[in-house]
Amino acid sequence: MRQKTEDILKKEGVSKEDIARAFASDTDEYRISNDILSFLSESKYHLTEQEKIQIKSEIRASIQRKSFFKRKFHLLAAASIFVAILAGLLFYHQLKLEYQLTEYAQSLPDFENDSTTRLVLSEGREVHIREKVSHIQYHSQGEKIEIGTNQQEIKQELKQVKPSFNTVVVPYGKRAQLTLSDGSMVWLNSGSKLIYPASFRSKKREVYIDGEGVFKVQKDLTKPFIVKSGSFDVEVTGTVFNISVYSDDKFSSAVLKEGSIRLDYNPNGLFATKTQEMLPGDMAILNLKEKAVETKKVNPEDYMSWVEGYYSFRSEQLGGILKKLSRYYNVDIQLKDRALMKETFTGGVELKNSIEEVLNLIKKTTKFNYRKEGEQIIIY
Amino acid sequence: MRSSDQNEGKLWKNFREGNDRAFFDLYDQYVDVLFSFGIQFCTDKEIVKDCIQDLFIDLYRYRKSLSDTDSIKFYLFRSLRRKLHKEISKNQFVSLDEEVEVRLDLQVSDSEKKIIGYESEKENLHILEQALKQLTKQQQRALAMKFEQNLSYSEIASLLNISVESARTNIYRALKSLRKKMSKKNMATTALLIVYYKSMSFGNSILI
Repeated sequence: MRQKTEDILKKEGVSKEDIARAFASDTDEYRISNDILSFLSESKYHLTEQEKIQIKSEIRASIQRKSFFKRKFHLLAAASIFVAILAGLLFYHQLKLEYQLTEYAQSLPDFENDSTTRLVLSEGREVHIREKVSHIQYHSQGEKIEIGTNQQEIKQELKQVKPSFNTVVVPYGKRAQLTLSDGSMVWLNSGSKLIYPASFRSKKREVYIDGEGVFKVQKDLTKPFIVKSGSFDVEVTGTVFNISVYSDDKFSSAVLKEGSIRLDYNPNGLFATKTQEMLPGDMAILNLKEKAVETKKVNPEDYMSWVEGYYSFRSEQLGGILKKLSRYYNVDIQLKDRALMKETFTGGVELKNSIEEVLNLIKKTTKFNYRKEGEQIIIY
Repeated sequence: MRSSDQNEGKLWKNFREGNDRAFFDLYDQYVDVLFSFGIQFCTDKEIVKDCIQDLFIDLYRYRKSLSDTDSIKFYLFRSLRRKLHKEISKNQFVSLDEEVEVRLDLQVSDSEKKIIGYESEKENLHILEQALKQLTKQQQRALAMKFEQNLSYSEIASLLNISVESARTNIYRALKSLRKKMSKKNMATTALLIVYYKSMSFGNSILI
């Protein structure tokens, strides 16, 4: 009886020899079966060798971390007590300050989207600012603060010994411009939080950021300025740079415009800190999952331009662009098509225009459609 | 077949007894087939990669309590399927039945690269690729499991949550529709070939 391709290929564990035997007399059907079998047996999607090695090394790192702690637990415990005592003795004061800022920053409640920008003073008093762009200016002792274009003045009392932290929380749709007590300036983008001492009294000027900010740091060689974040620390003396460390992003980045900065990050969450020196025009991107930093040359202005009210994108993916716009305009933008997310756009976008005008502009060169559904914008 | 089963059993046993080398051998041996399996259920490569990574970390963590298993491969597939399902239901951006973007990087072996053969081979691939896309998601998965991952009908049925009978029917129908597309094309090629041979027979003047 003459068998068709499907009759022979349906067998469990069918092989090329089976086909050869079955179709010795029928060359056409043999050829078809053969073609279909080779086509179907071949994997259509592959991991590259590099990807396989990478997954393997991540697995290795993960299991070694676990067994390391298991086996060396006693040793490690002893060592850490020793280190703690030593550190406590030697750097008591220093450590206390550093620790306090990060601990304080991370103890604050998670970002909540308010309608006003909030300035939280050291004694817990809050100032709500309704303007689209808040202006906050500290006097050199940190006790007097001017707010807004009409320079409304407020005062806070600072304790002599303890550092007094202040916090600015900028919701989506708003921005803030701060002058810190040392004269350094910080522009905060939508959805950001900055924690800083009202006056810089210790040996280092340390601030903590979550979100995106452009820093123009007042030069002071005796007191390095350190921007801390959940991703990395940036140490500078005097310089202009942008950092973007949104906790809901997969990547954090720093872009340097002038001067030089040092980026410290923790590749594996243990003790070893890695350092990356950056020169003007460098952009360092930290992949938060892999904890690896890559650098590339960019035009730094592209990353600072939002301060002046426009975004300039260079072959940037639609996914990333929409995330920025969604924060800037405080609108919920939904994009579910993954292929569309990877489409790119190059060009400048005026941020004083409405979100619709901006989307219409991008739409001219990057093919997509959008519609409004209530408060949401759906991209398709 | 027999000896590879034995090797498999030995590898599994060594791994369960805490041999790290055996653990990474398992990884090397199964990562490709796990990926080609996983991508059938989730088109996001990164998610599949993450799930494979998680799967092996879990495997290592619980190796002491793992049971003797008849088929490592099936055990791994089942675990990966479960992980993917969990991950996908968590992630609103990925839907199970998203259109798979089929990109084939199939290689044609040298012996088959004869002038006419190669061209028609490429054409065959194209036809099969198109035909595969027109099958249902279920049929595509079943085909991949049978021919790429070499699973049995009962394993396929269990992984797809269907009866063995419908696993068979799915594959049979899928094969039949692939075969039909190929037969149609083959008739056309045969006609072309005859024309080609005819022109060859005119002699040297035609060959440049």
